[in-house]
Amino acid sequence: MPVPASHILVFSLVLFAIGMLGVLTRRNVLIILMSIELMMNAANINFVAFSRQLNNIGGQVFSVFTIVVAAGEVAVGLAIVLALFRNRDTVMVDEVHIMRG
Amino acid sequence: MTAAFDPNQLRLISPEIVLTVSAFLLLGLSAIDESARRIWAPALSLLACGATLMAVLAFPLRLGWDALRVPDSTIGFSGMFFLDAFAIYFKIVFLLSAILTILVSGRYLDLERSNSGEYYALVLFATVGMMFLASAGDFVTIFIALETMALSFYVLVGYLKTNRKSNEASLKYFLLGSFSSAILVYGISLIYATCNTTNLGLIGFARHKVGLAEGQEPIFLLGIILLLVGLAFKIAAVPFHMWAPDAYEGAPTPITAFLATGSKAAAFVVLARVFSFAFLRLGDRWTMLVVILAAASMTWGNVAAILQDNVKRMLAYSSIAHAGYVLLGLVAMGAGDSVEVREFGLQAIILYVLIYTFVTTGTFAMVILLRQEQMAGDRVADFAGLAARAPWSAFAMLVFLLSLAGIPATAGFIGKWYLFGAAIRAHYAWLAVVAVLNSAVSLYYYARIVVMMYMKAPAREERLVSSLGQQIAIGACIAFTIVFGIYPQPIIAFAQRSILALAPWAS
Amino acid sequence: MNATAIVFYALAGLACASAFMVIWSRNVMHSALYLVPTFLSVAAIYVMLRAEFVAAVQVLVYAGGILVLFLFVIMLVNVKAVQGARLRLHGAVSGSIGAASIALLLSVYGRGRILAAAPDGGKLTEFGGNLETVGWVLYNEYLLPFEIASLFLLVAMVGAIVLARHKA
Repeated sequence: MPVPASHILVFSLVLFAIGMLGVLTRRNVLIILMSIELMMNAANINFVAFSRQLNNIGGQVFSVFTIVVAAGEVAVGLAIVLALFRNRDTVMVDEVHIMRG
Repeated sequence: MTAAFDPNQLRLISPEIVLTVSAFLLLGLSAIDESARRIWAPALSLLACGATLMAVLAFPLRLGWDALRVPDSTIGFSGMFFLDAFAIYFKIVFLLSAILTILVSGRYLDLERSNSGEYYALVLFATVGMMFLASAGDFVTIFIALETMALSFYVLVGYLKTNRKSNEASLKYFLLGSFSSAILVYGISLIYATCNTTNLGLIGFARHKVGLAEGQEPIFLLGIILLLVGLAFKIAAVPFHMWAPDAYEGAPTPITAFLATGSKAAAFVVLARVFSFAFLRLGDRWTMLVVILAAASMTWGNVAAILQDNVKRMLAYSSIAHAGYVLLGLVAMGAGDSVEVREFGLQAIILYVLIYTFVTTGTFAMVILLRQEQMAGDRVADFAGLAARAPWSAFAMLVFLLSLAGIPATAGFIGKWYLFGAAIRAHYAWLAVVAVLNSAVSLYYYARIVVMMYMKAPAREERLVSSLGQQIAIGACIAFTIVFGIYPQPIIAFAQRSILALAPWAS
Repeated sequence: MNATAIVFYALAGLACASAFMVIWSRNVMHSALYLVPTFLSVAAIYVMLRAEFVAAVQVLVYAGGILVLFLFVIMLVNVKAVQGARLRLHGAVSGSIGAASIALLLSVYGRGRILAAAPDGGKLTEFGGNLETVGWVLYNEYLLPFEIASLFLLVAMVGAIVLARHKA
């Protein structure tokens, strides 16, 4: 790979930052979930890039586990969204507040 | 070429296998037989936890506790799994917590019309995740086991599907939980980038032996910080606590108890294991962050708890404060200038986790007891006149609250004594003073409930109906709180025997 | 700068641009569709980094599974209900906190250096191709986490069914 590893790191950080901004600024549950997926993708890019850089297969294996976790989380997360939508008719986080304090 | 898999290693995970198979059995049976499940589902899951407890205890009984402190004889699965005394101690704590949760669940779920086999299966799955977490020796195992536990909890918190509070609680818990997982895994990726491994022992060894190469340190420290932030979400330390009050209030109350004890203890296992195995050499770098988390959690947790009218919410803030107290032990691990002080900090953490499990479950069991056919029972006002209606229940609640506040002659006092002592030994006396002041503040809101119970006229007259399971659970918690409050030597010795064998490079 | 590097920067740019559109677009359906170029270009970068197996999993799980799941749910919940304002006061505040912490991260990156590239000892293809190597390691060293992952997926399945089915 003719690209320096630090450039790949910066790329993953930008992706992580976009995801984090999405989680912090958007109020739509589905978009927050997508942003979390972007953050997990960023971590995977690090793992794969350093697996190549360090000549160590462990990073690739870890990224497989991260993908597994991301898939499981999305499945449960969307089930939660559905259960909520049935009761409340909304997917906006800031319209979901009967508890305060 | 790596050695092929050795089936003998399966013996190391026999407790987890027993519990997993029982959970499968529960799932299968609840699909076949719908009618009688409210009787046998809790019974079977209690049996499963009991059998697993036996399987866990078989290791020290067969090998002796000392053998479990020798690092080499306890590692399995290529360093992914440790079966040391520390892991066994926490497995026992998790199983006790699960048993207490199951005992108090039955009647509550009947009242909520949501009793089903899957609930118990998910509780068991969460417990399996915690048990793997206690033994995890590699970031891969930590990550996947933590997620297994967290996922079960997301579902359990939202288990009352028609209850809007429960929906909302599970949504908030899920969003912030998976956000924190993403931060955690990014932190792990940076640590991997600088250490070339995800194995905790190897990371610690490499940092000791080789040290960090020129210019690597910022990225490695950034990894540690992101990891700490991810875990701070899980223990609900301020300022990463936003989910806790909502999740605790909206969840079914038995799950709130399990969340406050089991899941919090699990996150502390990871903190203790990771920061003692991998990062102990860098104690001077991360201690300051832990000090800030601890001071902020104690102070904000106790101040916010004063304002609450909902008991579950109040206890949520109180549990945030308690997470702050426990972090004092981590401060001692990071800042201690000798192995003795570091081990003392670790001992304080694990002792407190055990005590807190019983006291908190007891307190929530009282809140569950107040949940009656016509009453939600989770407001402070619902405790009015409890002493007149049910003197023994009021007395039990009184003991639990005194123990949470840390009054002498209760188990909570012993736990705090050790934690505050650890902070002082690590030359953080001012932090111990902050903790003591905070305990004084906490007395105020605990006393509000006591005043309600003993000095107000009851709003209702009917008797409190309770199940056998609830009585057993409350009885066990109260016995633990009083007996070990007066005679704490056995649990202190137990904790001392179970602390991690700190690696030779620890000093 | 040779062709590989140009391809990498192009893919990275595409991934970041469409990731930004995910969090920027008003319509949640568009957001979901903007995920596709991100996931695919990340997969292409994996191939360039000699992680063919991870690339395949990325395409199968993300583009094939997760994205379809998102689209299903968007269609199940009323699309009209999911449109909404882009930014509110609360969002702006937490967004600026986020931006500040990102600036902090970037400055740390600027000062830090990572390990020098190890000489290519062929560890990534130790047992034949990339797929063989990942498989070998997964079923040996990583056997325990692999088994826990199966448990994790079971929990996810049970949990999703428990929460999403209609009757109590």
